[in-house]
Amino acid sequence: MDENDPNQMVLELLKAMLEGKNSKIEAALWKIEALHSPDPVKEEIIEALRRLGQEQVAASEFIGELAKGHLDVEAPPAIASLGNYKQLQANLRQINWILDRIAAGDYGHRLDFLGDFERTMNQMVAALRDKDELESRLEKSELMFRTVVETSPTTITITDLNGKVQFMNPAGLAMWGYEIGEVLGRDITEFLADDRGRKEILNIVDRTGRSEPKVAEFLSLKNNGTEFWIEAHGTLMSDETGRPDRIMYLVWDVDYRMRLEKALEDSEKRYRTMVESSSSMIFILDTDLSIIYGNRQGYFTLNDGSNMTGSSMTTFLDDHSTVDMLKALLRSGEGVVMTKDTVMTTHASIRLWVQMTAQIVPFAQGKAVFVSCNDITNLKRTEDKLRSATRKLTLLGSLTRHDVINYLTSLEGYLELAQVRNKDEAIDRHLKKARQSAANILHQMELTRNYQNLGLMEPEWIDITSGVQKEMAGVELGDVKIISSLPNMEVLADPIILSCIKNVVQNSLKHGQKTTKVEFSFLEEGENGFLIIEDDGKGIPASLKEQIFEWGYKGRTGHGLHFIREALSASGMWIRENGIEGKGARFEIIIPKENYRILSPGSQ
Amino acid sequence: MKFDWSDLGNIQEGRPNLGDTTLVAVYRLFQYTLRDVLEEHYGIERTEELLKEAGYLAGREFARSQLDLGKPVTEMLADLQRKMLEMRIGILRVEKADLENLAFTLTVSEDLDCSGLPLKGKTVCNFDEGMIAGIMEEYASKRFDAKEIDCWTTGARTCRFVVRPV
Ligand SMILES: [Zn+2]
Repeated sequence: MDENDPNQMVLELLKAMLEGKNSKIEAALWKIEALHSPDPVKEEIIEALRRLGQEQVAASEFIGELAKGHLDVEAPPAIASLGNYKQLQANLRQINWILDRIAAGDYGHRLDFLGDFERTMNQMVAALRDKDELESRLEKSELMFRTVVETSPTTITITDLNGKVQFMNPAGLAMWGYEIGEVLGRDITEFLADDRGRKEILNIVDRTGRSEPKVAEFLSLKNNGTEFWIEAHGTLMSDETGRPDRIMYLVWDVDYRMRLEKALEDSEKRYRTMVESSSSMIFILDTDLSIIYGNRQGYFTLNDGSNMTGSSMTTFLDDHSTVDMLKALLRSGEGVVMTKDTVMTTHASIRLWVQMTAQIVPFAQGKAVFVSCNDITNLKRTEDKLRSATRKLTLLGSLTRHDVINYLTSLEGYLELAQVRNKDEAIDRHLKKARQSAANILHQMELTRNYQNLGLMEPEWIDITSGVQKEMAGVELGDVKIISSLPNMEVLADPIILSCIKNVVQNSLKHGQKTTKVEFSFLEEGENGFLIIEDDGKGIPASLKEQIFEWGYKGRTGHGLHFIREALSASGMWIRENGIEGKGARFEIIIPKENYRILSPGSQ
Repeated sequence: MKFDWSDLGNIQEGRPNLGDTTLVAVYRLFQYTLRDVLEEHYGIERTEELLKEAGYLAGREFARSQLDLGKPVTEMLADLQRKMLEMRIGILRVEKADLENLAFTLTVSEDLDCSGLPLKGKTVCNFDEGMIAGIMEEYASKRFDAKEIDCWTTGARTCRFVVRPV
């Protein structure tokens, strides 16, 4: 075989090209570089083969680079057969661009008319877009929950299943007084103050997930050692596969509430003891007047100590007006208190007088009647006896006085007759003394008449201000002026008080000698009110200040001051004189606070 | 220049039965006879310049009337891709993009102007060059140049344009 045979050289090139080995092609090309033929056709064949060989080498290098994934390689120019490869390169570059865009989060580009690529690529883009949207929604929702947790005023803490803290929100850190670094990994039991709590805290979590979340109260411990009450609620949290792996606790500071409840409980216990041990009968009645509660004394007095819950109060009340009073009270609402003396009949048919006080109180969601009854049977009985005794005494007294005065009148008549007929001087002296004694007895009898009705009248509210005015109208004043700065007021007293005041004034006029004015005033001090009557007369000597109130003191007429003091004291009042001799008398009527009421302030 | 998109007329009203499409051959008949006449009168180089200028005018009007120019560039390109597909102009693809400098390599396959044409040894899509530059200019408010580096007529299966601001 001749290596310089042109046919051999061309054949070698063709074989190398068929074989596709660039080095061989290049070697063959090098050999025919200088090859020429005088035959123009052959010359053209050689030239075409040479170009073909060169193009194959160039194309093969280009495709080789493409195959390696080097999309930036430039295609050799003007090789028609490379058209499809160049389009492949263009398509790959397009895919590369879309992938770049996807990497940048841009899903707006589609791949069109690229056969299998088109379907898979567009599906992938759609799937990625969906995933991206989902992630973005998740991100937003996570952000939302994070914000809620971070800003929640409720303590939120997450622990592992053994109670080791993995997370705590700012509310929790503030409540217990820690920094976040101090609580992570800490045992949840370390936040509790007692063993019960430390044992319970993990048990409030419902591990079955079936029942309602449990809430429990614990005594908790702050970083600074302060104990306080919390309310905690635990829920299991699950991982992606649904397996529980954490516990979320919601915790509230309920210290204030717990302490309030405890205080209430204590106070309730105190009041319950008071009520239970009270010697008064105490009942709480429902709105239909059935007994909800009764104390020991109540059950003991009315029902031999047996429980009466559910029975109607009306079965023990004899007096219909009392039942009506309780019903009226229920209509009137809270705050109103009613008091009434009424008769109750016990289980054993014993009738009792009781003083009943009833009041509406809030009870459960509505209202109830609080009834307190004091057994006043003995008091009533005594009162009745006293009243009847007084009546008898009064009758006896008035009959006796009447007879005595009659006998005295006739005694005086006979003594006078005897005196007229008598000539013996010594006897006359005795008769004179006897007549004087009879006159004294008469005076004493007249005095007792005033006392007869004292204390028989019920005290009533008396308008002092206008009462004094009326009384003064009936007094012979002469040049004496009456000045009053009394407020518009009422006094609870026997109506005789007005004539007592009139008498005080009459005494002032009669014995004051140089009296020019009488002044009424009222002042309050401590638990009492003072109704003051003063004049500018000669006054009363210090030595007589108490004596003038004694029985039978003769200095004054009408109701003696003794009677006035007795009359006032029957109404719970007292009178004294504390003026200065030479400057005038000053009588003070001392009235306890509960016995007077001022309707409007005084005017001059 | 006073061309406006509305100068294309109301095609719907004007062609109620034949509709808004025609044959690609008709389009090419118009373009290549016109091109022939222009080459005859002004020479090849001048003709190519004129076609590119017409394309530029078309691109600006197209962008103004058919695209949302407020979008980011990648979204605008995606829109342009869809629009060119809808209007059967060609299949636009982005091969490379330097988004910072707004420099791109774009390809158009099945191009209306050239796909299927005989080999000529040089690119022929001068109108497209102008149009792409016009669209980019309208979008970015600066001068752009688009150069076709591969064309069906140079033996490539797809037209490739290098686009960059000038
Ligand atoms: Zn082209």
